[in-house]
Amino acid sequence: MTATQQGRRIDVLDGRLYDDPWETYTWLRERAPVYRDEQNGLWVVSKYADLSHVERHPEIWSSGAGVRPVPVSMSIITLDAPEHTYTRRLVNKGFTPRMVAKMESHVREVTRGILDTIASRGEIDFVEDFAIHVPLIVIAELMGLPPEDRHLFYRWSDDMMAGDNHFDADDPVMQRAQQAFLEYVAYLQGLFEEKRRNPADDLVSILLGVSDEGGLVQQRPDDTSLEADELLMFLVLLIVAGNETTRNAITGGLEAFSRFPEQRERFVAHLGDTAYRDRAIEEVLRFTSPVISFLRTCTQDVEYGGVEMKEGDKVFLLYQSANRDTDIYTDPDSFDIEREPNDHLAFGIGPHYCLGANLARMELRVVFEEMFARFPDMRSKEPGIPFQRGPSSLVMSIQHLPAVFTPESKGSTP
Amino acid sequence: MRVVVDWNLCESNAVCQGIAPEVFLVGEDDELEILDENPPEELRAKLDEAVRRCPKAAISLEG
Ligand code: HEM
Ligand code: SF4
Repeated sequence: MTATQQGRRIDVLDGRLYDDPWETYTWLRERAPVYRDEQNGLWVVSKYADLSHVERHPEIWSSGAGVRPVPVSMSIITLDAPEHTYTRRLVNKGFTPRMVAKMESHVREVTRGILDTIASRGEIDFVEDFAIHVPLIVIAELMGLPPEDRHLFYRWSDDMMAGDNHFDADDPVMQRAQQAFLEYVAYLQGLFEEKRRNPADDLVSILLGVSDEGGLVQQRPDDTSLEADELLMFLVLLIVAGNETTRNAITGGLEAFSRFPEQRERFVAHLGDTAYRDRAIEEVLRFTSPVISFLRTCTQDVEYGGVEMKEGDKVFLLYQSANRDTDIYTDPDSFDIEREPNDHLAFGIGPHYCLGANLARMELRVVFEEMFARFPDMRSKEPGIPFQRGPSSLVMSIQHLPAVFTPESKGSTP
Repeated sequence: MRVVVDWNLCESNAVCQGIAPEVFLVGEDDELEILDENPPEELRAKLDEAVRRCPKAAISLEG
């Protein structure tokens, strides 16, 4: 079947598609659940059950050949078993529910500190002035960075993320991504020296110890390039995977609470009820689904969903679409913080299930709780208007969101 | 029926415990413990749910 025979030509790598993708997703799910994007040579999977099936069968649909259309090898996200299993068990020690719980009270303090900086303003750019900070500070502290170096991370992580789907060496976006990568790596090499001298109880010190003892599997043992250094690449993956994702869940979540103000009122009325709050956060994740897509490569010929995939074919997974599937959800386009059950796929499922899921959930809990406790009327200035997005087919990439709230008067105590 | 957990995949996030606390427990040491490897048939619905909802797809049922 060709794209035109299926009735519609959709370029899934056009980042602008995701400015307003919802009608396209519905069409795909209803008319061509495994769609052929001829132009890009991709099978496109849009339904919940199919996405879940593909992710649960890595022996057929592998990550080892890359998870993006322009393949970039990047630590565990582009490893298959057994290397994936081994490395992931190692790094997972820093991300268990218990480790995350230990960080919570500190994340709360950090969040309050950021709220202090906006308290008297009443009108902010929600992204730049608020959402961007917590995820970045959390990763920086997890890694054990000195606070004065944090500011460097904002640009590095965004520039590397923006490089997705760019490959031409003359492309300025690509050049910026490459530049950020090299600067970050140089920074990490300095940091490693420092951590070897003064090891502490942080992720970099711990993984460095393991790595120095030969405990991290190198993806290509004979390769001495930076891209083959497992520790460096894991730390690249960490700042790329943990920043814009969580930031977009925070921003997207505020927009959802603004477009459905009765949900915000409910949330505020239940502050302190942890089960209620946790359920609400799952709906924020489902509804926003900040990761748009990843892909897999067929390890063999396989018939699936009425099409014949060949070994080496690429399969493109649409997370946002899966999370709006009417086979699973009643009224999926409404934001309903009491939705139950809500086993969304925003973090994927199976062996590559988001390593940072516990951490991201904790950040979202703390952020929405603290923010609405202090500014119960925090909202998007113009709910419902399209997001100002970067042209990404990987993440939501919301750049700005004007927001308003009743400020605290200058003299009042917080 | 026998409950099998792939220990290479399990990450002790306790989703299964939330569904079937009779069978799964994540302890203080952050390790999942299977309290009952051969649970009674009346737990099957819950266990099917645990299989489906384990985010790491680490649980299977035999028999
Ligand atoms: C709301 C925020 C987040 C969302 C929606 C999200 C989403 C995802 C998704 C869908 C995957 C699966 C990739 C695949 O199947 O190929 C993934 C993997 C991953 N995420 Fe997240 N993520 C978030 C936050 C974080 C945070 C905070 C961190 C770390 C600090 C993180 C680190 C990772 C890593 C390391 C992987 C690779 C895991 C593997 O391949 O085994 N993520 N994430
Ligand atoms: S839900 Fe799965 S990964 Fe989580 S503790 Fe249970 S078996 Fe382990």
